Amino acid sequence: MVAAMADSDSGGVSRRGFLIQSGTGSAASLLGAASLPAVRSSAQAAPAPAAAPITEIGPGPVPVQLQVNGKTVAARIEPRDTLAHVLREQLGLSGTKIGCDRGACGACTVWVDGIPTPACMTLALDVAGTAGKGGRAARPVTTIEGLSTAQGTLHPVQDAFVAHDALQCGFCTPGMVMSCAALYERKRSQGQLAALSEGEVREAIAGNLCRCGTYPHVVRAMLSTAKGTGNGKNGGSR
Amino acid sequence: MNAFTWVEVTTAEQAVAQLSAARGGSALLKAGGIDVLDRLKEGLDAPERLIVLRRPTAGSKSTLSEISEIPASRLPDSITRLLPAGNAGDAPQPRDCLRIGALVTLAQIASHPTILRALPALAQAAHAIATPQIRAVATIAGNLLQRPRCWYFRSADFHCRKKGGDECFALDGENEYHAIFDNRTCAAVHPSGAAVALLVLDAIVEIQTASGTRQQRLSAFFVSASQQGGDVKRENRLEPGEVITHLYIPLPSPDERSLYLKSKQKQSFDWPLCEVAISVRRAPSGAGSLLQAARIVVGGVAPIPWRAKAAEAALLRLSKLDIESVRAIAQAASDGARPLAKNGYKVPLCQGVVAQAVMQILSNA
Repeated sequence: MVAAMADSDSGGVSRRGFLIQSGTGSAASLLGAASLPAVRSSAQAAPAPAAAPITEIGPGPVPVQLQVNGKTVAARIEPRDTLAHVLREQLGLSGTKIGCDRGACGACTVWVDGIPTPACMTLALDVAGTAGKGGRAARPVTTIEGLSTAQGTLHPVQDAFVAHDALQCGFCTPGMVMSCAALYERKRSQGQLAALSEGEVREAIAGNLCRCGTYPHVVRAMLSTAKGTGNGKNGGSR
Repeated sequence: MNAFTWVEVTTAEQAVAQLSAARGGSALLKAGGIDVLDRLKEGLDAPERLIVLRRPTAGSKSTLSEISEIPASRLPDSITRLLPAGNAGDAPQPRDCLRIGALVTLAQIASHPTILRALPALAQAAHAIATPQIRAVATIAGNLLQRPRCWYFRSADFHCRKKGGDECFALDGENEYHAIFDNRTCAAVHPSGAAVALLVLDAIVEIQTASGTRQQRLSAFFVSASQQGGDVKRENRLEPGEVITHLYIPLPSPDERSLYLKSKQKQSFDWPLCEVAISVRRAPSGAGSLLQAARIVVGGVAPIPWRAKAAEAALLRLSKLDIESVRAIAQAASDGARPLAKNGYKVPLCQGVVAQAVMQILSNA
C-alpha cells in the first residue's frame, strides 16, 4: 500500500514515508490479502423482480477495493469505518485531515465521483467496491495527494495558493484546495474559467472553515489563477 | 461508533422488509447518512444492522433518486385527493405535480431547473442547508427525518424527554437556540429547513409500509408532543419500519409565488436562528384584497415547522402594501410565543423575517 500510494520522491526514505511505513496500520500486508468473498447475498427478501439482491457485509472487517487517485487499492474495512479514517490510517493518505469529524469544518473534503464530499461523514463502504454476488464497482475518490501529477506538478489552484499565501497553519488547506479545485475544474470544463466570480469562490468554500481566517487570500488566489495571472510561474499578483 | 452489519438494499420494499425483519435486534435506515453518522458517532443510536438504501448502480433506474414532472392526467387518485382544493368546498382537481424521490440530494434540488423556476422557496431552502459538501450527499427524505439538533438531545450525557427521560434540560438551561412556541414539554426546534418550504408548497409525502403505500399531507406529517397523537420521542407520524419514498408537490399556477429566507448567526453556513417560507396567490384585479391565498411557515421557533396562521389571516386581509400593514402581519407572526430565558430575541427576529418575506414577495408578485 505504502509503495503504491505514498509520495514518490524516489530514493531515500522521506520522514513522512518512514512514519507511514512504521505505523501500526500494516496496510502493506493488505495487498497480499487475496480477495476473500466475505459478501453474503440473498435475493429471497426482494419482492420486486427487478430489484438488486440484498447484500450483507460485516460486522467484522471485510476485504474491499477502493479506487483512489486513479489506482485500485485493496483495503480491509469494517462497515463502521469512515472514508476519512481508511484514507489516513490504512492507505497512508494523511493529507485528508479530520477536524470536527462531524461534517462541519470541511478539512476532510475529498472528491467522490468528482464532487467535494465530507470524507468523515462518508462510510468507506459507501464508495468501496465489493466482490462476490451482488458486488459492485468502487466509486472514484480523489484526495489532495491525487491532485498533483505523479511528477510532482501542482494543480494550478495549488500553485495559486502558494503564490498568494492562501494558507497559514495549513490544517484546513487540503480540504480548502479540494473545494477550490473542484470549482476550478467545473468552470474550466464549461469554458467559463475567466468568468469566475468572487461570489462563486465564496460559495464553493462556504463549507471549509479556516481558523486562521485566510479566506481573502484564498479568494484572491482563485480569482487570479482563473484569470491566468496568479499561478506563481508567471509572476502572480501578490 | 458500535460495530454493525451493513445491509444494502435498493428498493423501499426491501428496506421496509429489512427494518421489520430485525426482530429483537435493532435496525436503522441510512440514505445519505449525514444525520445517521452524527447519531452513531455520538452513541445516540447503536443499531445491530444498518439498512443502507442506495441508488441502484448505473444502468438501472429508480424513481427514488429522480425528480420528474407528473402531468395531471397521470396523477394517482391517492395524491389528487390530498391536493388543496381551489376554493373551499370544491373537490380537489388533479394538477401537474413534481415528484421528488426520497434519495434525491439537496444539491440536486437546489439546482433543478423546474424547482428554481416554479418552486423557488424549495430551491432557496435546499441551497441554504449546511455546506456544499453536505448538500452533495444529504437526501431530501433524510433532511425531513433528521433528529433535532438540541445540544442536550445530541449529548449522550443528558437523558432528556426525547430519549425517554423525564426532564427537558433546555427549559432551565442553555436555551438560546430553542423554541419560542409549543416549548413546554420539549424545547428543541425542528431541524428541517426543507420542510418549512415544502409546507407552504402543499407537499404530499408518500410512504412505503409493510402492506403497501400510504400518502399524507406533509402538514399533517410533523407532530409535536402537545398535539393530538404526539409523542415527545418522535417528530413525525412515520411509524417504525416505514420508509418515505416520494414527495409530490403541486406545480403553481402563474398567479402563485413563493420564497424562503433564513436568518443565521454565521453567514457562510449555519443552522437557522429563524427561517421563513411564504407562498401567495394573487387575487384577481378588482378584488378587495391583494391575495386570495397565503401560507407562512416559520422554522427554528417550534418543535415542528410552525404555521403562522394569524399572520396568514392578516396577510389575506391586506388591501395595499404599506408599512403599518406589514408591521401588523409581523406582529401576528409571533402570536402565542412564550420565549425562554435566553431566546427572547427570537420573537422580534421571527417578526422581522416574516416582514421581510412579505415585503419581498409582494414587491415581486
